[in-house]
Amino acid sequence: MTKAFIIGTGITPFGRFPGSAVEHLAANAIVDAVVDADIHWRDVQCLYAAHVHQGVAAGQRVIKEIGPSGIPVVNVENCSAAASTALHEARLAIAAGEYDVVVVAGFEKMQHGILLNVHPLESPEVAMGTTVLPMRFALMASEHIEKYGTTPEQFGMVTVKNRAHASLNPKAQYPSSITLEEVMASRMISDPITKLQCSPTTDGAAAVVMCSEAFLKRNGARRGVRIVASGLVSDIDEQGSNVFSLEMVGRNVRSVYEKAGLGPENLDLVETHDCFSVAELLAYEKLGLCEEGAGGAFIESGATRLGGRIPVNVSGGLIGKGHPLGATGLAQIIEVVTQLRGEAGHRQVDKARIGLTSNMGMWSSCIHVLSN
Amino acid sequence: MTVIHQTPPGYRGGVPYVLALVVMDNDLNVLTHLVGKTPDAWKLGDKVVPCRIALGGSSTEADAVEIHAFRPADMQEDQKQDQGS
Repeated sequence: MTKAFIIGTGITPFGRFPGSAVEHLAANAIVDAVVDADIHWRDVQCLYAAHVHQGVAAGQRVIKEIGPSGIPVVNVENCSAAASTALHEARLAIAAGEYDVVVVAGFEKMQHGILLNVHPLESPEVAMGTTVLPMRFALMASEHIEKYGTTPEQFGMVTVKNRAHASLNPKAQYPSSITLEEVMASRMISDPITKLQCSPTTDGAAAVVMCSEAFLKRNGARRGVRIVASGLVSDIDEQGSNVFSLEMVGRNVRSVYEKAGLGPENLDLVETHDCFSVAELLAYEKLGLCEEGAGGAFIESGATRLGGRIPVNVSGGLIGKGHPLGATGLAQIIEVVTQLRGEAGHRQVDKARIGLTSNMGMWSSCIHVLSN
Repeated sequence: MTVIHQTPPGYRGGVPYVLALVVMDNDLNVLTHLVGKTPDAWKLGDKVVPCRIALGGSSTEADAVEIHAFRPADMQEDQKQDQGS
């Protein structure tokens, strides 16, 4: 199996762009990635196009904005884990020797309002109000509070940290700091999750160029970041009870650590899926950054801030940077690539060599480890 | 358990409402509404029993949806009239 490298990245600003078609956002990100990789469009042998609600053949619509090619276009929908799933599949294709150069793109334009549940509107669960997304994380938070004495404020600290990070990221949707008081005083959505602990709805696109080791050597690309390992799993849900659990994240990361031949102590930074503050705090434990039950104390210690022991979501995370569903997984990857290249400017993590991304969707976990 | 304060799209009832994972005696988990107490009065570990409620109006209205829910185990039968509001 050949190794896979990321040699180019492109990402649009994240925010609200009512005048821009999603095809244009995606095409801009792809062109930026191809230019950044210093290759030609004709070098690209396949496009993996990740999106969630962008309609039929969205990848083909995007490619028509770029130029003639005739290459295979693979549309990937895997809820919020779509983009990392596409990257994982692209890596497998490179590793199998099928392609030398591929582009992976993720893009989304979203509706306003509470994050859509994934069930059809006419399903009985929707009428019952048991599919609303923040509820799934509120249930986990409630259990964590009861079991470990975690406080609602400790969940709120995730937003404070990620907004502080976002203030250093010019592409972020909310590039401004916020206080814990403001977070806690914002409208209650699903107890204990307040509005500012929810990721926003966002328009945006991200793309990377991935290549084989042979192509990297042949072309002398200067800045290849290696994908050391990746893993994709779905949840088990033994009871079919339609709840959400991070068990899949723990199970997935243990396998990824084993494949990568390293552990959480070797990581220099992590981008994890903070669709809600609760998701990040619980992920600290599942990813092995701290002990089970210690997530509250861990965020409060400052360990996950820029400059801390293991900075988490220095991009601003989904909460600060924004969460365009189909692009989010690649935005995480691009943050880690940018950090490993040493090009992250004011939010640069000192001596960053190894980074991990943990992306989630309904009911999937996709994790990558990258190294420079 | 959690209290939902924002009406999700497609939901037939009103807010706030209480959702919880109820653990049955046979260890089966049921994601369900809790009724019969004010939202703030619930705490983890409360004993509950199943009941039926109507969402979207009284159970006699054509567009009402009857669903399962759970109520306090120590609640009297004659107190069940106004559930599911």
